[in-house]
Amino acid sequence: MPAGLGGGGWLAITLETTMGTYLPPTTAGTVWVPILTDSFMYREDKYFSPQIRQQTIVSDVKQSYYHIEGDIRMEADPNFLPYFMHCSRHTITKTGAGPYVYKYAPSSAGSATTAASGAVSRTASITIVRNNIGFGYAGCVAGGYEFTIDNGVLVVTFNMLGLSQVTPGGLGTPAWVDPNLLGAAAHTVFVDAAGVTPAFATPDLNFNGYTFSSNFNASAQNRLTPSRAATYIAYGETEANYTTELDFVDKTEYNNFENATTRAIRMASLNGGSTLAAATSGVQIDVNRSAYETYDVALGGMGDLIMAGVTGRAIGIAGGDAYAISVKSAASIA
Amino acid sequence: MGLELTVDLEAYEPGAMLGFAGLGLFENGATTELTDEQELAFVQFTGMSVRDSFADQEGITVKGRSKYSPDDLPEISDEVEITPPLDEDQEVEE
Repeated sequence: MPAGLGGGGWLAITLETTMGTYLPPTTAGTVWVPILTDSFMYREDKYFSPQIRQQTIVSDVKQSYYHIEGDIRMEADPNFLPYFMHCSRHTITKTGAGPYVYKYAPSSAGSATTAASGAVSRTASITIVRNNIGFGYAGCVAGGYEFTIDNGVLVVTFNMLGLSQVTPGGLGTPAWVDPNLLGAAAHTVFVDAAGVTPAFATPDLNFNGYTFSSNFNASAQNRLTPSRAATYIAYGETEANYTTELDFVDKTEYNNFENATTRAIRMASLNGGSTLAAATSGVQIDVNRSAYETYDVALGGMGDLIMAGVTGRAIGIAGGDAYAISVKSAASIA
Repeated sequence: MGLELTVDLEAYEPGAMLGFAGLGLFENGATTELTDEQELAFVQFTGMSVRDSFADQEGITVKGRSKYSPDDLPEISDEVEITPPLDEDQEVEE
């Protein structure tokens, strides 16, 4: 086979009914997802025998436990986001009659699970074709993710984990829909007092970029079974953070940083309307309660704008969600 | 009659336009008859017949008689013939 290029590859995701049972992309319900890059692959620490036997080089090699791990980076296209967000550590609500609004709030699940249907967390089979050669991965979940704005477009990186690798029997033929990107004119940021349902009434015009990440500290767990594949994916502490740079125009938020006053931040990236309800598609990231961890203001140089380098951390709130991500999408996940 | 492609992929909205590389756009939920040009372009793009490519794919049905298969394509090769380096006293043959 001749050498291939990344652009000729493709990725398909199929939600699993049984965790870890691989479903090929010929299965009903498969969605072909346009991605930017992937590093999602087989990971194994091979055992090299360090026997002491009158030599100073390892003497043997054995296969060891393995799992699948790496990043999948893609534009935050609302057509496809729900499939990955379903495969993460969330409580999920689905409303609407198309387009649908999926709301993802962090859950306290200790490990990944799946189900045949319903607004519950799932695992997925992911198939990646590289140079026309198929790699099947079963029991896949997002152990974390990062949304950021890249040259005006909202992009997302999912930190994926999977249980096992399978060689797909049939790859089928991918189907593609037109991209639905959230571009430079789609984004609005709001800052408000922390609360269960902050009003987010007034846009804040000082944000120079915004990155939101949530890390569930997931890890593949291998147990003593007659298989080298991972047994399940465990979750740890949820660490949700944001990073931005602000024009430093008054001391209000600096004082909030110093006093550990909790704040709420919304980034709405919407197409077709100025609110999630009115929009035809979009993503809305609400951090309902957070505290600034850093708020760095300095004189950078004679010609430099005076900006504040800000990081914040989401905090739990009684009766509400520390954060919630809502996706308005034409995709209907049963 | 040529090939007919019925596309009914449950993960996509009815009426959504789905593109298959080398074949064109198809409405989800509809049946479309392929032209000879479409079928040939698909075989050239994928190296597979339309029937084989969609075989076992849930939600897509192919009916009718196939006109083109990979056997209709010219054979290509990516093999490289390595020429051994010449000795110093060896002359290049014309």
